[in-house]
Amino acid sequence: MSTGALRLPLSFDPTALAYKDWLHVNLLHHGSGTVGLVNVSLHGDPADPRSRAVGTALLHVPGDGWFGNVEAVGFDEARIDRTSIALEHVAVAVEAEGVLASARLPDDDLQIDLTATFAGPAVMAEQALPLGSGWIAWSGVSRLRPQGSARVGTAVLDLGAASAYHDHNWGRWHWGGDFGWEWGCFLPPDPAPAFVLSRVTDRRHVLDDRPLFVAFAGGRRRRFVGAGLKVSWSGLLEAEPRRLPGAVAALHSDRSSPRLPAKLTVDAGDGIDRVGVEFEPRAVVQLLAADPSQPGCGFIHELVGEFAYECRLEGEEASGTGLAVVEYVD
Amino acid sequence: MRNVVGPRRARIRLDAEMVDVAFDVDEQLRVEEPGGDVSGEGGTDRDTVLDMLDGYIEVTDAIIEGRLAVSGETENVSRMFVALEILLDGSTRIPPLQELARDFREDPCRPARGTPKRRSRPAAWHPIGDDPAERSVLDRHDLLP
Repeated sequence: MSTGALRLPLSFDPTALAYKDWLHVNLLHHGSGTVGLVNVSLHGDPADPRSRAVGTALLHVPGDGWFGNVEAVGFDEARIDRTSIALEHVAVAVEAEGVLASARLPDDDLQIDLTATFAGPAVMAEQALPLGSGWIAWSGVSRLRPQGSARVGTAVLDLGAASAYHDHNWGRWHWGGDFGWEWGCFLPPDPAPAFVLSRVTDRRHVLDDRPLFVAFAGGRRRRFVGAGLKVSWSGLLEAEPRRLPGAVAALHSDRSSPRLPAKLTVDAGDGIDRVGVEFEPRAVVQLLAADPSQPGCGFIHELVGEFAYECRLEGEEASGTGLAVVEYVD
Repeated sequence: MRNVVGPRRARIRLDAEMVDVAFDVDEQLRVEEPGGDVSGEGGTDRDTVLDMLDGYIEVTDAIIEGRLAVSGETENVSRMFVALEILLDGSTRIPPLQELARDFREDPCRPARGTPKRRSRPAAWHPIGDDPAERSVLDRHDLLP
């Protein structure tokens, strides 16, 4: 099983300026409530010196805040292979059976060494989805079995007690266009069901296109789409974000107090199976994605916290709580 | 940037270092030893710059906490900040500027970076333009409408 190789554009690709590709891992440590991400991404035409390879490693610890940082370099300073991207401080590699991720950010009190094996079926968008004037495609694995350790502040976490999620996204778009998305992974401790939400919207999150909610249980997956899926946001999140990178954040002081929702509710059902999820984030980091070839900036809000669920899947009822990461992008 | 700055001269302080910057008649940027009158002044320290670059504090926080100070007539201070915005905007698409930021961070001739100092104010959400601490600073300088 694999989430696919990087989709680097061919040399004669007229859309190469809009090229985007990234490898993403979420880490959710249930014992401590620590939750976050390791992500490496490519932005722009590989032949353009303005194009950037970006590495992000951020974990939120309840009561202590965010640890980690973002680094950005030219393509020629990153080691880019068929299924891996490695920068000086952050790296992710996808293999046939799992994912490797590492982060070395001593100035930001974060070090991660992760080896995770795929423990669930892959899910993928069946076709590329329109995204503003471009498109996005993705594939992911809802649950991985992690091993390794994370040093976060003064704490050392055994990642064998954590859950993990991985996806690979690629496509063509320019940051700052009229698009947004809502995407989330909801993981209780294994072996409970896992859930993934994907919804592409316009920048105001008013119009959406083919939302998808997938439940994974007992080695099987159930997809909920169309009228059987209701996704709603409410409230106002009373938490100021950490904003990275700081130089781009200084340019967008008008976004320093984003109006983000405080609660996500998902109701999914097809007459036989049903799932209800409620997520209330406790913290947010705002990742500002400046397009390297034209003016424009996207705002990727990573909301983290606890969620509660109840479901009936293939005749079995279940309920519980877990940790979640939800992206709210505009 | 030249249009915004015009013939003005600014004095910039970082820790114990201080320079004057201005565009000369040939429109080249000149960085010189401090001397003479300036249109505005700004000062901070290396750790504050790194804390801002790493998202631990915002520019507003740095000003309110006294870690970043800018002085001058309102028009000139405003132009200094616009010039900085132009620089920041350009840096997202100008690799040599990004390399400059990295050189600054990794400069072996300077002390190692201290532990990041996060904002000291409580992180309660407030609408843009309605931060009580920010309004207090503006009020103190008679800059509220």
